[in-house]
Amino acid sequence: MGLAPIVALEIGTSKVVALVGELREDNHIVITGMGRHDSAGVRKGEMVDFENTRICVKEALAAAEDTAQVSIHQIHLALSGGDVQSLVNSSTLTLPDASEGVTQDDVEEVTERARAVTLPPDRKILHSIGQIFYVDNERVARPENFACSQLSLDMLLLHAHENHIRNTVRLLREIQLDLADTAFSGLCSALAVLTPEQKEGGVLVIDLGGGTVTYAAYAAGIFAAAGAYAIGGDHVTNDIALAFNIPRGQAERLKCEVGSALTEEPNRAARVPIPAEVGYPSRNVSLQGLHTVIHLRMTETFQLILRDIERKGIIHQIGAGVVLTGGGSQMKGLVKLAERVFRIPCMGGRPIGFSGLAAATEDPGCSAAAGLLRYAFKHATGSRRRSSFLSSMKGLLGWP
Amino acid sequence: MKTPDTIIATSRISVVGIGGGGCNTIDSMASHWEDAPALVAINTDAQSLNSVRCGTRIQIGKRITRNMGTGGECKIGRLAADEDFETLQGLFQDMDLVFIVTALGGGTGTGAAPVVARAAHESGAMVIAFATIPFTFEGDRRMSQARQGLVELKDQADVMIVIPNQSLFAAAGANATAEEAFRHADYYLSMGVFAIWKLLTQRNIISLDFATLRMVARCSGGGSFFSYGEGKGPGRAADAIQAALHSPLLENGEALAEAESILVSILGGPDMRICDVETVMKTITASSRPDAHIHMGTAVDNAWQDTLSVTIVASRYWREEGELEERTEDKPDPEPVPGTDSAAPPSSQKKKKRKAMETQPQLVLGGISKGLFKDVQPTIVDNEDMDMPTFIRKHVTVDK
Repeated sequence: MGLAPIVALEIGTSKVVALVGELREDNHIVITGMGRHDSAGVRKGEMVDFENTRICVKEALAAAEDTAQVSIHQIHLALSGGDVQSLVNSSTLTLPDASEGVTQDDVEEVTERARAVTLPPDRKILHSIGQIFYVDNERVARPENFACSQLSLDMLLLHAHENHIRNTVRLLREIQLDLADTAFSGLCSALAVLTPEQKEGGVLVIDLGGGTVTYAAYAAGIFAAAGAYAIGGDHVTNDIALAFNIPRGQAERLKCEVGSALTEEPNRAARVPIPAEVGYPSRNVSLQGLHTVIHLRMTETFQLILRDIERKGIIHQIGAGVVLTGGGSQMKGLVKLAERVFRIPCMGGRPIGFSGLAAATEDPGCSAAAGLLRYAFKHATGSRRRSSFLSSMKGLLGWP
Repeated sequence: MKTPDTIIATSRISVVGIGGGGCNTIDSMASHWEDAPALVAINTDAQSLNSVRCGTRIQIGKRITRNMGTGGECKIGRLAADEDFETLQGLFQDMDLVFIVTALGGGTGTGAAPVVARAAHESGAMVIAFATIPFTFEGDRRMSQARQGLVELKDQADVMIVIPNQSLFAAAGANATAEEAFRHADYYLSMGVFAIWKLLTQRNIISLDFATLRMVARCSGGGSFFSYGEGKGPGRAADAIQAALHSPLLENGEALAEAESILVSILGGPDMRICDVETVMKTITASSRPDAHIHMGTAVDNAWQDTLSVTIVASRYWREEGELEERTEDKPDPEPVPGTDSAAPPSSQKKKKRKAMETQPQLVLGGISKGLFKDVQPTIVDNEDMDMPTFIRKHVTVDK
């Protein structure tokens, strides 16, 4: 064992989740504690009400402390803001002597160069993940000791608006928590639900959250692209509420109980009763209409992601299909709809390689938090072996 | 007491068929009606246009389509109509009422009909649109194209009557051959136009004048259903109303039961009796909501001896004019319409009429806002505000 338990916190739009995990043999993670609280004060992944969010976070952490019987002082944070984007930057280093092998310093140098991109001043790099090295145009995972005249590196950079993290850090400071690290929740979800075979075959993971949708793509085992949109389950609920002029609570209930992303349900003529509420008379809603509203929103969301993946030129490398996770992935008909949009096999995904509290391991809504634990342990073990930033980054090469 | 100007001259009414389906209906009208209003056929395809037997045939978009039709692309249909917009406007000069008949789903009907409606509207005419939507077996593409055209057309038309082909052909009977079914469908559409036209151009026992029709158009919303039935002999009134009521076009009466606004036209020969009118109206009152706004008129045609027909236009919603006025108060006056003489009193009257007409589609959009997301940073993708419900942005009519 040796490693202390790690706490993963995700402040989502619909819920705040805190997981306590311990690392066992074979990278298996046991979830020993869990706290979960309905989120109040977060819209589309952004904090809009500081005080309410603070209360929700405290409640969730307290529950996690209770179940795991630990006291929490430090956390890892999943970032799920809808503005995360990725780009690939390449750098090349010409080595003075082609007969000498590549040194640690050379690797460090080419990495620094690959990280050096010009972003708008308000955007900050969230992750820089080395994809693949080239020694004289030959692909290698680890270039050290190869003799070559040119060393190149493709680096995937994830960047986000700095405001997004600033508010969260302020909140954590206020409740006197130490922030060990942050990670993009789309990447975390991928770490939670994918098998190595899927990554090798090329896969796209889509995490459908309450306020945002995040995605991460692997091609030939390499982390190839990631991104997010501030469009989530709340948008579906809001669309329904506005389409039928019903309260949002009723819209949410309709979505969860009889919603479908497909419009060709057999009972399309059926109507669903909506009980009266203050300001709203009781009425019937067309099931067909309800499904149309959901269908349009989800199709559009998938199409946005498909377009990104096409633009980045990796759609044809996604051989293992699409994995849908996150709370919103439980929508009826969604997998089938995804298959129609992406034209490749799709499936639902939940955390793999976790045990312990079933509430966390069985819930696709906990994928990001669970994946964050894996991310954190990866870094913790990596930094035990080598301490510098570079070595931890190397641990990410050809992830996992 | 009706003043003489509530009757409009047939010369101020125009019936326009757009695209292949619309032109077929015009052709059918031309062969049945002797004293018909101005019949106009509009199409991109010269060849099919030449086969229409009516007074005015207009080929649009000669340049953009190179005389070849649209190939099913509604974008091309729209551009074709834009190309000849001035011709279209000239066509509707001095018209009070324009009927538009079109089959949505194809290129010309879907793309050009909204533009033609706009031309008519901008010339100051009231627009009543009869649009059929494709059979489900015609495929998703045609259907979604039709849906888009529908919303665009709805924005421009004062009364939008949507007729699913499926119901129209079901009304022809299950054993009808394809040719019979098409003839039947054309007949139905013709009769819808005929009934309203007769109502407005004659002084009748029970009049439904143009002003009433305008009010009905302004206050009704939510899409309109249309149904038609006829009867012969002593029991003609009961036969006609039963046929209209149980027509698949009214969803076997369900659409009537829910409608808040109902327009009824009863057409008969000089031998029409008061008890016939009573039979029809009693049945309609019994089959509709107690609070429905029912407007009725009768028309007499010498050819209809011993025969009676009932035409019903049922709209889902009724909004009082007062509710509309409140919303329009702060709106700026619409731009003066180019091509009309703004100094002349009739045109200023038209402008006023137009303003009131514009309120309906805008009211719907104004009422539906961003709901939950109205106070947060919008999610903008490609200049589109993703917080707005998808079905609104994509102009899809949702079953309520």
